[in-house]
Amino acid sequence: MWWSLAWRNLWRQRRRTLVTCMAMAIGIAMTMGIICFQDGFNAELGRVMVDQRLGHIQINHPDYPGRRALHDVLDGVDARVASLEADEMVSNLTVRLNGPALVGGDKKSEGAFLVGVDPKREDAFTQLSTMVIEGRYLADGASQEMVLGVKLAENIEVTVGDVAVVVTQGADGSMGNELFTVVGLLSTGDERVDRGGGQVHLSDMQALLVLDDAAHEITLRTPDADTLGTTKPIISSNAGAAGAVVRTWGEVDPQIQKMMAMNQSMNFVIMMIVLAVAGIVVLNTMMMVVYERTHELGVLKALGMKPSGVMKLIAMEALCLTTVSVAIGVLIGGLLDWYIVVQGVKFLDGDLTFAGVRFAGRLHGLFEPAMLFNIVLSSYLIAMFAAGWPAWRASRMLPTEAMREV
Amino acid sequence: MLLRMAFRNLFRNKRRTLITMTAIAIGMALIDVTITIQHGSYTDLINRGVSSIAGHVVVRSKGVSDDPESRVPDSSAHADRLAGVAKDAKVQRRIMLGGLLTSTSGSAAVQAVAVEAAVSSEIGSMYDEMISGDWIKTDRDIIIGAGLAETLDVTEGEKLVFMGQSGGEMTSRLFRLRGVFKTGAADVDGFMVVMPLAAAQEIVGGNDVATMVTLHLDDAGAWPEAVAAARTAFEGVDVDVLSWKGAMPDVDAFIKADRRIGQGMLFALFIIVSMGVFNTFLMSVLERTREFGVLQSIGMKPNQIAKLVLVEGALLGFFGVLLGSLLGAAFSYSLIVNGLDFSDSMGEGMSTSGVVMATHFYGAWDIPRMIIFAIACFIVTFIAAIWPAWKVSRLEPVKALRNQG
Amino acid sequence: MSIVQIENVTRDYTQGSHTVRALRGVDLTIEPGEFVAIMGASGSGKTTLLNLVGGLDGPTSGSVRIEDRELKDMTAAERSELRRDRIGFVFQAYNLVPVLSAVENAEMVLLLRGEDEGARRELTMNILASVGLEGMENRRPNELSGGQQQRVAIARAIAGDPALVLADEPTANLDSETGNEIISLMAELNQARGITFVFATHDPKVMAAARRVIVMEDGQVKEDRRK
Repeated sequence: MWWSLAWRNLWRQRRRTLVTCMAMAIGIAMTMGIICFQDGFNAELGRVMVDQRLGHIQINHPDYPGRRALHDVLDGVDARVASLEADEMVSNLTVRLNGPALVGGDKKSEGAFLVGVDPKREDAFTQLSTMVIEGRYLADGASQEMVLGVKLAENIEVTVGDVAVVVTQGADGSMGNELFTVVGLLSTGDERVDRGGGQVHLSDMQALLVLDDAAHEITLRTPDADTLGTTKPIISSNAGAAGAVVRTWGEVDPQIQKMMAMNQSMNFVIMMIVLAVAGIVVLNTMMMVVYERTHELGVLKALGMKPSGVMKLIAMEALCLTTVSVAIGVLIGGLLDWYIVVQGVKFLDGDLTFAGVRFAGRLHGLFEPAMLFNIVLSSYLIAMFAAGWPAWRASRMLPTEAMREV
Repeated sequence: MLLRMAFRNLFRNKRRTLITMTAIAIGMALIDVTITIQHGSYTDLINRGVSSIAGHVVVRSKGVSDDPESRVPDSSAHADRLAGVAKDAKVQRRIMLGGLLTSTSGSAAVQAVAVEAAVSSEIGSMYDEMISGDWIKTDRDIIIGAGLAETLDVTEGEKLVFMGQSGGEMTSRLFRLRGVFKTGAADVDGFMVVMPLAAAQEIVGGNDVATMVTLHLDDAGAWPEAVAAARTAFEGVDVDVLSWKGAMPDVDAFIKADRRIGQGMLFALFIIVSMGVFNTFLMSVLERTREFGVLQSIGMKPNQIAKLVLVEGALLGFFGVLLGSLLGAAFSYSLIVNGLDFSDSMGEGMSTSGVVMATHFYGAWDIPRMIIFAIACFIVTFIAAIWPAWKVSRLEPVKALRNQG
Repeated sequence: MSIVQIENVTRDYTQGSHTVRALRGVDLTIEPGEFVAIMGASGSGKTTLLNLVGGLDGPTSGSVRIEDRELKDMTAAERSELRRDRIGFVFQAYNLVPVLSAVENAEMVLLLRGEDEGARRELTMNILASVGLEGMENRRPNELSGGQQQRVAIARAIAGDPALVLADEPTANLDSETGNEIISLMAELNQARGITFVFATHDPKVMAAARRVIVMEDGQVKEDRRK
C-alpha cells in the first residue's frame, strides 16, 4: 500500500507535480534529441572514414606507415588476398594501390589521389557503386576505365564518356601517362575522393606505376568492430600478413578515432548537465513536499512509523515522480528522435566539411537503445540523489517538532 | 518599502531561495561560457579563413562560385584599386591551382596557393605555421606541408617538380623546398603547398592573372564599411566584390549553425530552470496566503500585493542572473586566458569548411551577446512570477484568513 | 503494573535565545483502565506532558516509564515500535492522510506492523463498524464530517489493540453535540475494552466524563482529583 500512498501523494498538488514532471521530461527529451543528432554525426563520420576509407584493419609494407612512400608496397598480393579471404575473421577485403596523379581533360588538369582497385571487392567493401551519381562504377575485368569524384570532374571539365589523361610518376622514377575513359562520377562524402580523387583498375595502376602484383593496402573488415584488439593478432598470424605490418583503423588515423571518442564523451557531459538541472528542480519539489506535509509526517511517526519508513515514503514519491517524468520524456524524446532519424535535421544551408568528410546540410540521427537505457538510468539516479536530502531530513524530524509546525 | 519587504521575504526561507538562485546562476553561467568559447573559436576560424583562403574584401571573377581555379586578368590594376579603399589595410593577390608535385622519392597530388611573398608573410596563415626553413623569397621557392615533406622525403634545399595544366598545355616547373609548415590537420598538411605568385602565373600562362585579389584589414570589425567602399570603387568593373561571408559561405554557414545549436540548447535548459523557479515561487506564495489575507484586511490592495510578489520575482531573477553572470565572467576569463585544449583528443589541427582551426580553443569576450542573454534569462525568470502574482491578486481576504498557512 | 509512571520530570525548550520551562517537576502515575483528563490553560504544559507520555518527546530530566519500560533507555527505533504497538493517538485536527480512504487510514498501524492485507482489512472494517462508520469505509477525509473524521482517528488508534490511547484536544474542532458523541464513544471503548484513555483538553464536557482530572498550571500539577 505504500506505493499506492506515494503515488496518490503525487497528485495532491496536480499542477506542481505536472510542472516538475514536464521540466524533467523536457530535459530527458532534449538529451535524447541531442544525443540522437550527435550519434548521427558520428555515424556519418564513421561511415565515410571507417567503412569507406580505413576499414577495420589495414595491412601494409612495414615502412609504409607515416611516409606512405610509393615503393613501399606489399608483394605477392594475389597470394596474400587468397590467404586472407579464407580466414573467418575477414568479412570483407579490398586491395588498393595509391597513385598520386595529374588528371586532366582537354583544357585543365588537377592533382588527384587515384587508387587502383579490384572493382568487385572494392564495391563489396564500400558500396561505391551506390554512390555513382552519373554513369556507372568500374566494370569487373575491364581496363582503361576511370571513375572520378564529381567535384574533380567538374574542375577539370570532363564528364562521363570523355577521355582523360593520367600522368604519374612510377616507382622507378619515370613519368608515365595513359588515357582513361571516364565511366562514372562519384559522390561519396569523402572529400578526398569527391574533390580530388578517383579510381581505376588495380591492374591498370600496377602498369602505370610499374609495380607488378603489388598493393599499398590490403584493407579488411571483421565481423565484430568492437573486438579489434583480439582480432588483430589473429590477422597478423595469417599467411597473408607475413612480413607486413597490421594496424587497426585507430592506429592508421588516430585523429579520427579520438574525435569520435570525444563526440561520445560530449554526449555524456551534455546528459549530465541537463539532468543535473532537472535534478535541482526535483530537489526543490521534494523539499516543498516535505515541508508541506510536516504535520502529517509527524502524525505518521506518532503512529509508530520509523524514521527509515518516512525516508522510504519520500523516496517512493520521488521514484513515482521520476517514472511519470521518464514516461513523458521518453515519449516526447521518442517522437523527436523519430523526426531526427527519419526526416533529418536541416542544420545548415548547404554542406559542411569537417575533418575531410562532407556532411549534407540535412543530417539524419541515429537511435541507440543503449543510450536510452543510460538516460533513463541516469534520470532515476539523479532524482534519487536529489530526493535523498529532503527524505533524510523528513526522517530525522522529531514528531513533536513536526506537529508544532502547524 | 515594498522593495524592502520583497527583499526580506526572499530570505525567509534561505535554503529555498539559495537553491533557486543557484539553479538560475548555473544556467546563466553555462550560457555565458558557451557564448565566450563560441565567440573565440568563431573569430579564430574567420581570421584563419580570411588570411588563408580569402580576405575581408574579396575581388574575383564574376559569377563563379565554386570553381577554385577561376582567374581574373589585370589583377595588379585591381589590387591598386582595392588598396585605395581603406587605409591601414593590405592587399594580396592569390592564385589557386592543383597539380602533381614530384620528388625523386615520390609524388603527391597537391593544391597550390600562390601568393606574393612580402604581403603574405604579414598577413599570416601558413607563415604562422612554419616549423622549419624560411618563407618564400625567390621565384623558385616552394613551401609544403609536413605530411607532404614526409611522403616526398624531402628537406630544405631539395628539388621538387610541380606539374600542372592550363589552357591545354601541360607544364612542369622546378622548385626548391624552402620551408615546411604544420597545421595539425592531416588533410591540409598532406595536400597544400605555397608558391610564389609569379611562378604560378608562369605555370598557368597569364602574366597578370589571379584567382582573387583580397583586402586584409587591421581592424577586422570594419569590414562592412570596407566592402561598401570597395563595391563603389569597383562599379562598372567586370568582377565580383564579396565580403568574407560571400567568399567563405561554408564558414559562415557553419558558424550560424553551430551557434544556433549551442545557444538554443542552453536556452532550452534555461526554460527547465524557470519551471523550477515557477514551482518554488508558487509555493512560497501559497504558503503565505493567510499572511496576504491579513495584509488585505489592514487595507493593502490586491494589486499592491501582486506587485510585491512581482518584485520578489524580479529580485530573485536579478540576483540569480547577476550571480550567474559573475560566475560566467569568471569562467570566461579562465577560458580566454587558458582556453580549452582539445589537442590530445582532436589532434593539433582540424579542418572545417576548408579552413584549419587550432584545437586549442580560446574564448573571447562577446559582451553584447552576454548582456542580451542576461536580459532574456531575467525575463524568463520574471515570467515565472507572473502567474503566482496574478493568483495572489484574486485572493479573497476571508478565505485567505481561514487558511492555516 | 501501572501503565504510565512519571517521576520528577522537567522539560525545557529553547525558542530562539530564551528558554521556556514547559514542565517544572511533575510526578504522575496512571493505572490501566483509567479515563483521565489533563486540563489547563494554553501554555500550562498539558500538551507537553501528553507528548512525554506518548514517547513523542523526551524529558530534560526525570524518568518516564511506559508499562515499566524507561523511555530514556530506549532507542528511537524502540520508541517507534512502542508507539506502534502499545499506544494510540488522536489529535485535534489533521489526523488523517487526505489521500487515503477511511479504512486505509484506520488500518495504518496494522500496516506498519506488517500484518497481511486480508487479516487487517477484516479487522479494520469491524472496528470502523464499531465506531459507527459502517458504509463509509471507502470515503476520503474530505468526504467526511469533522465528527466522522475523528471517529476514523479513534478507530485507527484502537485498531492495533493498544494499552493506552492519548488524545490531544480531540473535541476542540467539533460542535458540542458531535463532541459529546465522540466523548461517549471513547468512554464506551474504555469500559468495553479496558483501554486506558488520557486526554489533554480544556473542554468541560470531557472533564465531566472523566473519572480523574489533573489540572496543570505553569508546568506543574496543581490538582489531581478523582471522582
